[in-house]
Amino acid sequence: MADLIFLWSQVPNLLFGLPAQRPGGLLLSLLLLAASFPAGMLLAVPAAVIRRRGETSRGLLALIAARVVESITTVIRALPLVLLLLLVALLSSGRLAGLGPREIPAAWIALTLFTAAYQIEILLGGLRAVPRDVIEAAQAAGLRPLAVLFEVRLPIAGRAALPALTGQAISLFKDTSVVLILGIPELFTTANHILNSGWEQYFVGMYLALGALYFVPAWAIGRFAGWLERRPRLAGSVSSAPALG
Amino acid sequence: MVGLDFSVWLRPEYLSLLVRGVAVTLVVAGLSSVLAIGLGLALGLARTYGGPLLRRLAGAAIAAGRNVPALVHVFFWAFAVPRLLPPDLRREWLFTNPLATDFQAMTGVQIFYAVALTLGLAINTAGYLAEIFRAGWESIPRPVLDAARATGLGRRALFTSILWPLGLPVAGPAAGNRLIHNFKNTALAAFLPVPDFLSAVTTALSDSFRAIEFLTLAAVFYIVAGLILSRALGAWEKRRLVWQT
Repeated sequence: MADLIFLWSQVPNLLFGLPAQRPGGLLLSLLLLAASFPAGMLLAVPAAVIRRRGETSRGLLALIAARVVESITTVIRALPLVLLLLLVALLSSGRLAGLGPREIPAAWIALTLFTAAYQIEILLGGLRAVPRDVIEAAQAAGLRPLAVLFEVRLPIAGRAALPALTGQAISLFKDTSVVLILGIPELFTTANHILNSGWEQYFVGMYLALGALYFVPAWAIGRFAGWLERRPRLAGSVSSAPALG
Repeated sequence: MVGLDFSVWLRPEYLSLLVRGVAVTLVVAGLSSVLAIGLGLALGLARTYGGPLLRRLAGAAIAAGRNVPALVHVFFWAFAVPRLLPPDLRREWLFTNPLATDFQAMTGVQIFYAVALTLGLAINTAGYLAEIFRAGWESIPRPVLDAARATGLGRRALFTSILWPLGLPVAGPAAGNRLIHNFKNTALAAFLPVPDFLSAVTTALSDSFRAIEFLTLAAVFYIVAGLILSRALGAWEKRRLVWQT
């Protein structure tokens, strides 16, 4: 019973961060997610287009650019997030001790790079799924290559990639727990901080609550994704591509 | 940057640390993978072919495994569960029992935390694997399953002759990718007193103040390991999964 009372009293701290560390807690985790995922997409879309171009073009520049992007992607994907966080923190602040909320920008950069690497693979799959006849129809209709890219290929690829992208968003949300290593006061760090400052007997209850606090947003994003996929305009099947003329 | 000295990798005092780190990483990754496959199979079978109650329970277990971050799983077993025991029993059973002390004398590893890490990783990965296996089994054409059941094939034979071989083409690549991800998650040992490779690297770098050299080493290790694992996965896919109509 005391467990529940204690946990209930800590809910504001878990959701918003300890008073001295606001914004923190679940709010900070969600903020990190909201900041990293779109930033990753900003990097990933051009990179995926470059890689796809390297697959279909004979030009030397296209091939080299695609290979460079591919190598960078492979390197980032091979690294554990913990290591990437440490590397970025070291490069940005020159040290690996005494890390804290000032390292949030470094965490944002690391999370962005990390998620972009996965988003590139997903978008690449989407771009590969665009049928050739649709592209040729667009070209026959007189669209210039850049217009074909923006009006035809990217929308179709985006719809095809939507399920995998939402999976990646959920994954990224859970990965924010790892920024604990930089001392950033998001949800997991805050929970541990509370427990370690003398409330040790509530460990199990706190962790169950922690599980729930991660579970609910993750599940909610999944449901939102299901709703998105079911909307007729956005259904993943390529046949729902906009009619051309 | 003055005086980057990459030969620090080879200094004897660090080399033994790093080698032990590699061994611990490989052992934890291997054991947690095996456990995850076993647990994933059990949960997947329960979820796909069990009665209504069993399906619900398995579904809940899978959701808990997947939607909660791996780090939370690991911390749960390493720090929350022990606190269910009173302090003296806890020390006696988990930390100072003969097996633990012998193990620590031989390897320098605290077996309890290593087990907690392995268990946490296994449960997290098992959640993903269960869904991957389920997708594989659901891809088997209904007539094949019906024919097998009609010939009176028992449950064990059904599994070894039908479910496993025919589910493998769909489930294999995704499962392999998940297991590679599990390997990278061993880096979470950095949060526990478990001397995996990344922990060894951070110890070495804080001892020698040569952060750049050691973090580069860490990156190289994970990149090479990742490349080896994904090449191996690709080769296995080509060999075992070439269709098979």
